Amino acid sequence: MEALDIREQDGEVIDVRGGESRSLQLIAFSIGEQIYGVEITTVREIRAWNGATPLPNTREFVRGVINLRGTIVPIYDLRARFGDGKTEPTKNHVVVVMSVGEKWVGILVDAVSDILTVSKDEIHAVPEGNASDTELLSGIITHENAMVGLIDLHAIVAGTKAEK
Amino acid sequence: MSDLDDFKATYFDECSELLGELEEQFTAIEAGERDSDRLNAVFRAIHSIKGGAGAFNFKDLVGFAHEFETLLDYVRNGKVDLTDDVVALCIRSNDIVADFVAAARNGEALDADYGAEEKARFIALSKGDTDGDQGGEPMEEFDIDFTPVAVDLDHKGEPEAAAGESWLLRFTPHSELYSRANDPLLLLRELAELGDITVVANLNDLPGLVEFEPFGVYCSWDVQIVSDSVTEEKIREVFEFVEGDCDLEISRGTLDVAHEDEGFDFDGPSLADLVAEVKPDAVAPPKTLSVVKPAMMAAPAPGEPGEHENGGARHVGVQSIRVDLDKVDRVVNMVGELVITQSMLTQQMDENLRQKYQELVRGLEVLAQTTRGLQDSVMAIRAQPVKSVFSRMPRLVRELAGKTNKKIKLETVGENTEIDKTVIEQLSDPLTHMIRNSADHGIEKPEKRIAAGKPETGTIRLSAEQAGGNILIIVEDDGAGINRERVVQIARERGVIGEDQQLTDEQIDNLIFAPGFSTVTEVSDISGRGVGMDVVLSNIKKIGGSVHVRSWTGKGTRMTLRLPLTLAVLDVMLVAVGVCPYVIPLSSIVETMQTARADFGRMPTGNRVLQVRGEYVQVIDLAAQFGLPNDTPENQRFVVLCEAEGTQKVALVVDEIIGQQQVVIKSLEENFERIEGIAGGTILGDGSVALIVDVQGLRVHTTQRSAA
Amino acid sequence: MRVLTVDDSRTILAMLHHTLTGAGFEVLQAEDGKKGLDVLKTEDVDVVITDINMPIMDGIEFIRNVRSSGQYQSLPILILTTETSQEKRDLGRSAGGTGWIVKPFDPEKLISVIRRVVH
Repeated sequence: MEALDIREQDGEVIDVRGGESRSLQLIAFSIGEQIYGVEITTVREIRAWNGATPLPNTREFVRGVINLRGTIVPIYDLRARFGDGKTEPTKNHVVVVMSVGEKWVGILVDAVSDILTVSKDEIHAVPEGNASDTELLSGIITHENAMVGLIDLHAIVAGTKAEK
Repeated sequence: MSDLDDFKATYFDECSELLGELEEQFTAIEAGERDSDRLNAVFRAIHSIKGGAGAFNFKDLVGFAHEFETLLDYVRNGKVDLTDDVVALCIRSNDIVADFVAAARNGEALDADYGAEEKARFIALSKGDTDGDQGGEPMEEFDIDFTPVAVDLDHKGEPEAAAGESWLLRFTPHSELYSRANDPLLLLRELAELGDITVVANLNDLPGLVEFEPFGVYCSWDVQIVSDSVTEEKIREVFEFVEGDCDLEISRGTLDVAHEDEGFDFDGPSLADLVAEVKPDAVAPPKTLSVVKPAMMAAPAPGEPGEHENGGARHVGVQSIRVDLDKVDRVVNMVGELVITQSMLTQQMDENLRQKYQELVRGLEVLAQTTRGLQDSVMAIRAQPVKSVFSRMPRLVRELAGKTNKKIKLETVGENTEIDKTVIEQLSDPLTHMIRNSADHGIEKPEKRIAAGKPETGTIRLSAEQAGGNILIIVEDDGAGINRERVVQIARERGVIGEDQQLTDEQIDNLIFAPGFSTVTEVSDISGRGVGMDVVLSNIKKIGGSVHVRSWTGKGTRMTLRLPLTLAVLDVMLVAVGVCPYVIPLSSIVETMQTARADFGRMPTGNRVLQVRGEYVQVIDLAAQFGLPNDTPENQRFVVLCEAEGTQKVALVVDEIIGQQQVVIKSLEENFERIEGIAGGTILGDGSVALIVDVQGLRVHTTQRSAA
Repeated sequence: MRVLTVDDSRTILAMLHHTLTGAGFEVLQAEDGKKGLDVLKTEDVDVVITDINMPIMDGIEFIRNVRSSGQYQSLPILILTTETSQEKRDLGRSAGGTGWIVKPFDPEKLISVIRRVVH
């Protein structure tokens, strides 16, 4: 099983503490063509997909639980969370483990693409419209002409129980 | 302030223990064991509760405990007769003390006259034969602030401004002063803190060496104290401990300095001269000591062993240590992991490997043994007798008897049975509920009992025993038994069971644990409080136990709690549901069989039931229940017959039975949330997660669903 | 300076410990007189503070035992008790108690009393 520590990624030197408060460092990952990001300080670990034990009576986007060094951590399928259907994961898919409040959760994504440093001024509000967009994203950033959705982790992990 | 809070926590812990002990002692005293050991023990316990209460200024508690203690003191000294009446008073008062302690702990105030009646009786009884002597001490109030006091022990005190009045005292110690280890030097040093002092030692009585006795007392001192704040009272206070062990004359005046020159003469060589002879470097002391700075005085008291540094072993013979439960828990969890790793390693050894690596096999066997030993020892650390919970019950029964106007006696058996501390902590509430239930619904009113030809006083029997890997706690009463007609009627009304559902007597009895069920139409003050026996069940389930009730009409009811010995490691059966691994606690499994051999029946709804030895059991297909795809042919699947609560059974259909093993329970809620039908997770030897089936939860879950 | 505290109440032992260590003393503890004697067999202490009402061996008997051993004739022993009644105190003193401390004790008073009986 492969587990990479984000700080060991070659090339860039990452100041996890973020330096000045005006800028933000993000881990960017892709789901299909779309790029999303989460603040780097919330990320605990990035691991290759190695299966998960399904949890009964939960919604489609809850892929199950994995063993992270003796602790049971739930895995959320981000694609399914956005309503695009379940991911068919391969060994090349990646789980980004992060902390949301007191809890640790993993999200299943296609690949980790980049580490971005952005200015807080560059964060745009999510336009009104589709409720699930405004609910799951906390902002939008433009990076090299691509749109990066800033994920609201608290919203992602909410509402997991299967409806009866 | 946190130090004070720490002490309070210690105090309340101690109070719980003492109250438990008191309860036990009074139960024995009530039963007629009125020997002095017991009386001394109750006196000491009340005394300790009062002592601590005084430190925290819990006035009401101190006030009550004080009078109670006084009475107990008279009782143990035989000054007050321990009649049944007095015993009853003491037992009631013990409950009142417990209430005062609880109020102090919660920072609540009880009614101002709470316990006043009992207190008045203590005083009346104590006065009865004590000609005015009030026994204990006068009540004093202290406001204590527990800041650590940094005390400089070399600090000799700042003499007061010497402008004031002059006092003169003559201090002549008796030999008793020395035999009680008091020391004139220290007294003089303390005097020096009162003001500017001048001390003159009178050595006139010092005998010649021939008559000199090593432990004889030959010195007296004249002291002049000059200060404007000294009073005779303050001076006397310094000599508080030596009152009667010395002559002390105190007057106003100044020290006659001429006195200093009088010197002393005696026949023969002085002790001082002799010392000088023996030790040439020693300076012979002047014949009179004039001391202004007390620090200069260094004469050891007679018999003073002097400085003597013992370089040898300094450790105290430690019999027990107090350890944070957290620390023990960490060890327990790690040992749990170790046990599992060890059993995993053993499982990996196939016949081939065994042949090849015999040394390794032997090593693994030793490892297995040591691990087991380690596990047992660690669990023993956390084990506690159930006494700590049982001892709270006599009071409960007394209160219940009072409130319901019934006569009830409580018998306890096996209170030394040990269970894991974490289990014990969870035991109190369920047990309270069960006993309440027995007193409220089980035991009949005295007249009814007599009419039924039973003894007027009902009995509730509380017992604990170890049975295999479980502890059984049984609450049994000799009451009327469960009113099944009423139970069924209520269960139907509340939709707990269907209109036409036919149940065995046993199933009816166990309905009392169903959620939302309460057999009393009007919520009674005792069993009511908005919660029913379902709380018992859910609490017990939380700690991996089960509850079962059996009832005999007119004869009584027996409720059995089955509890695991430990919560750390669970023996389970590993099964596959679809392709997913699940584990089922072994303690709840009755038997397993292939579906091909199982005798299924079909209900009108299409639901299957399993017929086992003449009993029809609900069938739950776990794959369907958990929404997992499976392609195992129906007749190649397995049935795991489980006991959900007592003998309420449920048949779980799984796709494969993999084997038995031990697992460590991991929480799902830590990073996720509770899932119905799942008790938690665990990590298997290959690192993957398996879910633990919550047998009881599944049953309730599906029952509710079908009822809805 | 080392102090042996003998009391069957954990609360009192904890408070004594806190106050005494706060004043720079080394504190040894025993839960009854018998355990107190055991400590004295192996340990040198400068002063003893003992409760009177204790199980197994009470304070009076403990003091008597200490005094009867030649080694401890001059060991200061303070009686810690809520009993201010003359009777208890006299019993303690006649057994060989050096002085007394009334519970609940004031920390400063405790230290000053110790200083009254120990160098």
